[in-house]
Amino acid sequence: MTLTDMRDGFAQALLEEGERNEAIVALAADTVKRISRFAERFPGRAFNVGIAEQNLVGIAAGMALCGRVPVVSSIGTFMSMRCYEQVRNDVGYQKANVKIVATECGVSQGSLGITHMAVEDMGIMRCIPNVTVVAPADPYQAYLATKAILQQDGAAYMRFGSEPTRRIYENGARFELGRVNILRRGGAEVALVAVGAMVEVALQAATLLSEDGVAAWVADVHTLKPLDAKAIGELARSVRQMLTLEEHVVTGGLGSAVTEVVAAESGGCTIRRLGLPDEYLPVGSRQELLDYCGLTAEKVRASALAAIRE
Amino acid sequence: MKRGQSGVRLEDQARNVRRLIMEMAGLADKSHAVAALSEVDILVALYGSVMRHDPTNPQWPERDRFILSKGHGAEGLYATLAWAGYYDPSELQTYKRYGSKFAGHPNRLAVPGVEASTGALGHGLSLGVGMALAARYAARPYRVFVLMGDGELNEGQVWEAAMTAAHFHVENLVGIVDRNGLQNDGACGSILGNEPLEEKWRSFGWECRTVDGHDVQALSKTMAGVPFRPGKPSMVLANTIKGRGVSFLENRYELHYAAYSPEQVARALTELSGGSKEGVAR
Repeated sequence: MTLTDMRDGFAQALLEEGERNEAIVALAADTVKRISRFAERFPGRAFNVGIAEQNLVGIAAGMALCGRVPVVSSIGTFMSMRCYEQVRNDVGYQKANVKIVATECGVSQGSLGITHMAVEDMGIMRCIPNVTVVAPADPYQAYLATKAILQQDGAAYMRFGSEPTRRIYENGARFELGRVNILRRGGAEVALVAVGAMVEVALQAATLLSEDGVAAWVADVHTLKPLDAKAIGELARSVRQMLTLEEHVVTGGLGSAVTEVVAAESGGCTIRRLGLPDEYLPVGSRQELLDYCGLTAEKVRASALAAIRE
Repeated sequence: MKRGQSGVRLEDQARNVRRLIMEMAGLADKSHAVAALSEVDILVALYGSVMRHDPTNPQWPERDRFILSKGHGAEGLYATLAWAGYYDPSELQTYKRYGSKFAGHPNRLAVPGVEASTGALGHGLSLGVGMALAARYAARPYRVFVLMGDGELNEGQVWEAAMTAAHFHVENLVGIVDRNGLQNDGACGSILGNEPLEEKWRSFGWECRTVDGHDVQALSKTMAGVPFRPGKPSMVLANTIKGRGVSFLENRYELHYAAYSPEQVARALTELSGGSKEGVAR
């Protein structure tokens, strides 16, 4: 299977699941490109409700309460914050089987400025009961994750960026919601625990660290909720240092979730949370902003080495 | 107690529903009783006459749906559903107590017959649009009725949903505004003017009717005719009085969320004693 980016993986899976399950409908908020392949194939099952994300989520919840399986998709910042109360009250609280797919997340639209950066979304969505929170690492995992959330009875929030992402997973790779993938086994020194597109950076950093004689673990935590506390706890007991990597503020997201688990279980290792700082970022390309935040492979390598030598 | 069957005048049944509301108000620390009293005749018309529903089978797929978008009117909905036969009125004695099904705002997963969990204003019409659109895939299209407060119309999401319903020609959707003219802080017109309401809804693509919101027969007759125009959503502007039926509660915006003494409850029940006393929550 050839997939160009995360959105492509999502679109392909939505199309396939749409063939399989006629209850699936797709909705957009003047953002129809995200569901356009589905809409072309199933015009009677696609709705563009205009620039109105609160209404979008409410309509989807209403459809879900009447047996449909709605997929809503829009730009991440609007798909998470503009409609947060609707996700909480209409989706989570009412157990409405709605799948929310947030695109352009993280700093992938950094040159558009703060209003277009969805960098708090995983943290806030994690607070809502009954909502699975997932962030795929590559286009194929986006495909697998889309299938998984569509086949699971329950609400989900899936987020990814807009940049083309290198394939990490081969066709036929396994994916299970709530189950960490250990991509690289390492020694007792350090583990790089990443979510979403930061998994690729973690793998690159691990390669660089091997040149320094450090065998780093790399774990892909694609599902932030429910969190695989068992795997993270085991990893925390296996290493002295753990670095979390996320294209998200360090408050509330992966770093917070991992720290909660490790602190609660007295895992023993030290945790450094790499992510976006508690400030409004400057304007810049994704790569420039990742560099600013210390989220490039080279900077992650340096952070890991500093942690080890501490 | 007759549960919505023929033989008892709906007006008398509305009085019994009001009695249930005041009894609940007496059980709770504070309540939105005046908002509930405002909507009673609309609910009795819907559940007693207009809607296709079956209290013995609340999940009947082809039932008409009702959404109380003004979720603070929960007491009115709880009392109406009890009267209609979804559960015994005695269950309402737990109203707002620890672990009760009956919170101050309705939870669809707890209370039989409640179709949507509401309480944050402005959500209901979008939920209704979604439910009404989903009906297009049903074997027999059902209708969706959404009751909003006039204060609630301050919320922008209402108007997003209003545009969407018209755009998608959702003709099986019926909006109802409980137009009592009062909201938390005072008269609607003094807080955030919403008139001319009929013209507003018309301009948003809805077909409107204005009706006396305390005339059960007029409400029933009006809503029996939906959609008012094929291809359009229908809007019923129901002119009401907040606190209707209890003289000392009528038109008192400051009682929007209020505590009631046993004496006030007894006095209210005396005023409402004209109908059958069967089935109230004792």
